[in-house]
Amino acid sequence: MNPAEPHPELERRYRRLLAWYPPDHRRTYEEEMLGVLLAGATPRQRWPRLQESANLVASAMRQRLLAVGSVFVDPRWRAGTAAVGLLVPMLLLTLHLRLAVGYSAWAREADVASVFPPRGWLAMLAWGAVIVFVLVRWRVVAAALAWAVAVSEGVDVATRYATAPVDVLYAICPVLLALTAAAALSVPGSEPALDVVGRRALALFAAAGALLVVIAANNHHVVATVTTDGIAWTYDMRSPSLIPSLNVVLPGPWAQPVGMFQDLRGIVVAWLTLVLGALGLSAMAPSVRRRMVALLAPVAALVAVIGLGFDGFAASSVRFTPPVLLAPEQWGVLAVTPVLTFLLAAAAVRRADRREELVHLGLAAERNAQ
Amino acid sequence: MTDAPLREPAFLVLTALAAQPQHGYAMIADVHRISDGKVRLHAGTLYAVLDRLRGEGLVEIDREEVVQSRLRRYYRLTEQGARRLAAEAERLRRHAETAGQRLRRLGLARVVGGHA
Repeated sequence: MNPAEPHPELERRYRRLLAWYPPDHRRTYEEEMLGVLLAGATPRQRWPRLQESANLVASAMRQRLLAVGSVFVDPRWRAGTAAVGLLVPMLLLTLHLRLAVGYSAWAREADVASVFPPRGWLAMLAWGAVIVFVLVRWRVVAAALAWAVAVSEGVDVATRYATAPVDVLYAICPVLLALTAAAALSVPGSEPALDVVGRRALALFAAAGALLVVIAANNHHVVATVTTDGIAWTYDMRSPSLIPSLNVVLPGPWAQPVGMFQDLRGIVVAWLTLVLGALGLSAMAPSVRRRMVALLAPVAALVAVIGLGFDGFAASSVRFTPPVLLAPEQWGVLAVTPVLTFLLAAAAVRRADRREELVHLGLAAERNAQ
Repeated sequence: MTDAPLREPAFLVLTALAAQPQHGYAMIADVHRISDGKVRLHAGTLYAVLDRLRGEGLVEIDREEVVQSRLRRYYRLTEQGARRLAAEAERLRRHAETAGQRLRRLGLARVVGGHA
């Protein structure tokens, strides 16, 4: 080995330290930094100096934190948060409206007085006001109101934990959705939310929301019970749920048999809602759409995890007095799922961006070659 | 909006590049020289500073070379970078002048090497 050349072991160790940097930074600077580090090494040096190593690791950590923070500096992410700041309050308003309509329909069918809680009306008013503030570009007021609603809903849920842990479990997702809306509204947008979403997509989402409410009005709170005499109809006395359950929204094999028999209109409306939602998404710019999906992925993942993994807890907890509470490892799953999902979704967005850039570069090269 | 004051490593990197376009290792050596051996930039700090200065449009890549199979990238000051460095130098000069005047009033002229 030429004594003037750095030791191969030293280069390998420097590369290992540089691997702490985020991929984007490495792509831009790794080879250059390696050159600088090796130029500063003494002959026969085999190990990076301690201070130098600490400096590299600290800088790499800082770059990683900045990369996370850049989510809110990148105009495409800002557009994504602007879209979420408008569409999530619309979704929350829809869900509360749906709940109110569902309560009313249930009370009518069961022939009892409606018991829709006053908090529900307040939340509906608040989310309606948030939407108006966003549309008139009073983003800071909208954000403050959204935080107030989200935090008060969170506190309300938390205070019920000891007596009704299952209710709390199912309320986590709506609260997280409200917090997502509040956080999204707290990010200064690069352009108004209405311009980011587009009037066409907004109209399609509004129509899908209206249909979701209509489904609630048509929702049956009667269930079929098979007896020896055939099918008998009985009332399901459960109150309507805030989140539309899959068996109401999804047609086909996921629909409750009773829904298929009793109200074909409900199925058609459910399909129509899905189509309108999909059309609304497709009317948005791809870079905004994928960021919106990434921002909402944590809530979606939590809905799936709670729906698939906590059935047993929900069924058994209520059988005990006092009810069984969530175990620390269950809380761990609930806490880790949204964070992990967002990190994965953000990485997927980065990959999709890079692919898009490469396609653009390829197209530009083809045009230049012609 | 006024710019936030530059931190010392960023100020020294801009000062180094004010002389001529330089590559990373040369900048480390130049900063060491400019600061009378007081500031020795590590590679991690240098590239964090360069990345930020590039992002703010204060420096840009001048050229790239491959020397002994290693990438060597030269950076230069942009016009905006030169303006920013001049403004920062003026700001520091004013501060130093004020500090000097006050120290002289205290009779500490020797400390600032002044003219009593």
